[in-house]
Amino acid sequence: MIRSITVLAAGLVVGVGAYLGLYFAGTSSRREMLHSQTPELLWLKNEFNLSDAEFERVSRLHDGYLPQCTQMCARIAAKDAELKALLSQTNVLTAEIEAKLTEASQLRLECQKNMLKHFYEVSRTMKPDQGKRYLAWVQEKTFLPDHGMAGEQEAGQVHEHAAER
Amino acid sequence: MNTGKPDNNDEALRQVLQRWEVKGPLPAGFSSEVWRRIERTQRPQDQTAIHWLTNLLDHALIKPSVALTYLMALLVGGSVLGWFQAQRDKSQTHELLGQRYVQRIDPYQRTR
Repeated sequence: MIRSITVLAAGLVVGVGAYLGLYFAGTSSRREMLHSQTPELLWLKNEFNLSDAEFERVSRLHDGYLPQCTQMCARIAAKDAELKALLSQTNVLTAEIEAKLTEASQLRLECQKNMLKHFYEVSRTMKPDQGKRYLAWVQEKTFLPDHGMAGEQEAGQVHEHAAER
Repeated sequence: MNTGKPDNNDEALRQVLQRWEVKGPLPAGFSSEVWRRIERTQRPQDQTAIHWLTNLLDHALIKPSVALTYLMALLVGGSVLGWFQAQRDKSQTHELLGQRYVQRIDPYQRTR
């Protein structure tokens, strides 16, 4: 009986040990990334196979862009607050609201131009194929954020086709 | 058909048993042994199953081939499970960091 219990316990220890060993070995890169100061940049390095020199350049571009981005955030938040205040005062489209909407769209345009400029700079520091892939990915995530709606539209088309059959 | 099992309703058998007289002393602990056997037959099914399983494991794990197979199975099972879990967590983190990068560079996603 003692021998059976020993074998049973040894099996459990071996099983749990194997699980933990493989799990920790498999997630070591993930832990390293999460404990770094800029995990998102390390992610970029891994995702787009950046060399150390490329990563250095991308990091410098990123650091240079972030203050502009933060400033833009503050302007957008302020503009949103102004628009919200105006919208809460009335239930008709006033000239003031119209002007504020124009300002908001101009701000969006400015923001998108800045972003695009940054994306092009970052993509140029990468290898051509990776740069192209980066541009396609980042544009999809930022300039085409309504892909959910497009998906719904496509799904609708699929339903229509199915109904026609 | 004769199943070879005693029939509790057999009147003739009952009469014979009633006429049966025990001659000579009973062995020591006879009565308690009888009650123990009755108790064992009336024990709940799950206890019997546990007993059966314990017995089976006890007899099986003594054999080196069975013990080795058991250890190998747990080693492989644990490894596969650990690997899959690691892949799943890595993939989730990958997705999350991608989103975080976009949020860092897109003011409109930051202010949401």
